[in-house]
Amino acid sequence: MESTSPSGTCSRQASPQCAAIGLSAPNGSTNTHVQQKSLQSFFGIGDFTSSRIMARFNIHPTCRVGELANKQVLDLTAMLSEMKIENDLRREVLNNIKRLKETGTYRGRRHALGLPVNGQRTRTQVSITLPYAILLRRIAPA
Amino acid sequence: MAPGERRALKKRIVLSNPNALEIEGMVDLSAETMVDSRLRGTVLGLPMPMIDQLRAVEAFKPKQGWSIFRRPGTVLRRDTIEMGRLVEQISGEGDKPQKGKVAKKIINGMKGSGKSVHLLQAMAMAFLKKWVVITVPDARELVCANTAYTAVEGTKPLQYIQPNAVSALLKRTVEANRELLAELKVSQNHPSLPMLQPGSTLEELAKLGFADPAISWAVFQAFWAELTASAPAAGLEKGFVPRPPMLVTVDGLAHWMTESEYRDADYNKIHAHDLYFVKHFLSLLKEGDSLKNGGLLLYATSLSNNPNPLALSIALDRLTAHQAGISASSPEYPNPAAYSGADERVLELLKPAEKAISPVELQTLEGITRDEARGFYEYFALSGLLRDSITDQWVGQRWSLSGGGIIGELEKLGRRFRAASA
Repeated sequence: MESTSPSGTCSRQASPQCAAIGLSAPNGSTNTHVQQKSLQSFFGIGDFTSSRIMARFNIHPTCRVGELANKQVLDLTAMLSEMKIENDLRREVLNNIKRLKETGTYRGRRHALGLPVNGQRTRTQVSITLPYAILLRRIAPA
Repeated sequence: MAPGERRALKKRIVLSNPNALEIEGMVDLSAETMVDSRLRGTVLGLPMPMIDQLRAVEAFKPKQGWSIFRRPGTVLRRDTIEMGRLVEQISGEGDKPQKGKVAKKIINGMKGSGKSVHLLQAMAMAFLKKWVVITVPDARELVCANTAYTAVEGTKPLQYIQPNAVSALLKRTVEANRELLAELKVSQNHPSLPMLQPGSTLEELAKLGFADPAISWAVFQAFWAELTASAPAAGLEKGFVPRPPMLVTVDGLAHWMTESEYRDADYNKIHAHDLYFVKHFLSLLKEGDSLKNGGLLLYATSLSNNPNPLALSIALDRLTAHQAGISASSPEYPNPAAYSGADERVLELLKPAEKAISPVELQTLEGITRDEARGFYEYFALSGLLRDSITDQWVGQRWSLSGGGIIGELEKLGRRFRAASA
């Protein structure tokens, strides 16, 4: 999957529509699912949000990027540009962690140590929680 | 597998088995044979030139057993002959011609009782009588949120158009009724379609709709107005041909009697009755003479994929009670249980009318009789699929095993014995 910049445009511009929504399939096809592949590829948009965005603009769940009307594309772009997603959201998460660290809370210290934050046991099986915590602390996606 | 290949395989319809024997002297369905009660219980072949038309209206379903016989044919059962007489009547022929009559039927019955094939037989008869055939082969496709939808501004509650589905409907209709539509000229004014050339045929009119889905609903409305026109508008009298009767079939009605999978802007489910396409076809059940030039409405339920809405089963029970003469005030009249939340819109739509001009009838398909079952199995034997000798006792056993002549079950039994004897 192509990585996205904060403004939601993609480096591989297969068609104006893809460019506006932000993503195209690796082969540049417009046959990509709007909800599953395009909207949910943004950090901060999952199943819950994407299905509501789709419903708001009367886009059916199995719609492909190529089937979107121009107006729908513009609406989607306008909406996405107002939402806090991608690096804005990542930055917010990082700021929250930073605040925890600065105020010297227990959770902040656990973050600083790179250990589980939410009270999980660390006697065994700590490895399951670690990758998730690390993922959250990075600003750019892997 | 290439994209779409698996689906294509799943939807593939095979109508011929070259290994099955050809039956000498097999009678075809025709205007004469479809009402001939002497032929009751025989399997009549569908006329070969009509097969393409039936395919176009998607009359054949993938899971029906067409692929084991040499050519497609259907049993002439009691319900078929009755329907044949009705079609004849509406066409203005036969003993009691009633040209312009509209018959509205909801076809119900057990799984495998032949509801979809009943619709197919209706389509075949309508093609024989040169009617216009309009079908919705799978009602579910309109509500399962797999096709685009757009809201119509200014309607309350908000209504929705499904442009691609309407486009597909027009395409099906034109493909199946091409000869007929090419003869009918546009006879009404359609201000919403400025691109329509004066003097165009209905075929050309419908083609506008599938070239551009954005205007397909307007085209469909114009198309419908043309088909139900009883007289030409002023200034367009030239070349006006009286419109033929229409057959409208819908398979899988239950899907239209509940909420659809579509969502509105606030993420609430959209009721199926708020989709213009669905609403149009359901409104035909409601009004008096909804088809101005006469015709037949056949709306079948399906048990293969059934959302089973409570309100529909109550509405159908009510129709049964009404036909049995039970009045709405009687304690035996079916009513939804308190707090069951049965859908009022559905109950209202299918309310048995006291004095309607052409009321909705409920037709329940039962099993076929032993004699009809015998004719059906003889067809298996003649096709070389059965090697047992067919006696009354043999047929009786299968008839009982099939739950009293449920034809889908009979067919399975016929196939199973083929495997055992091979």
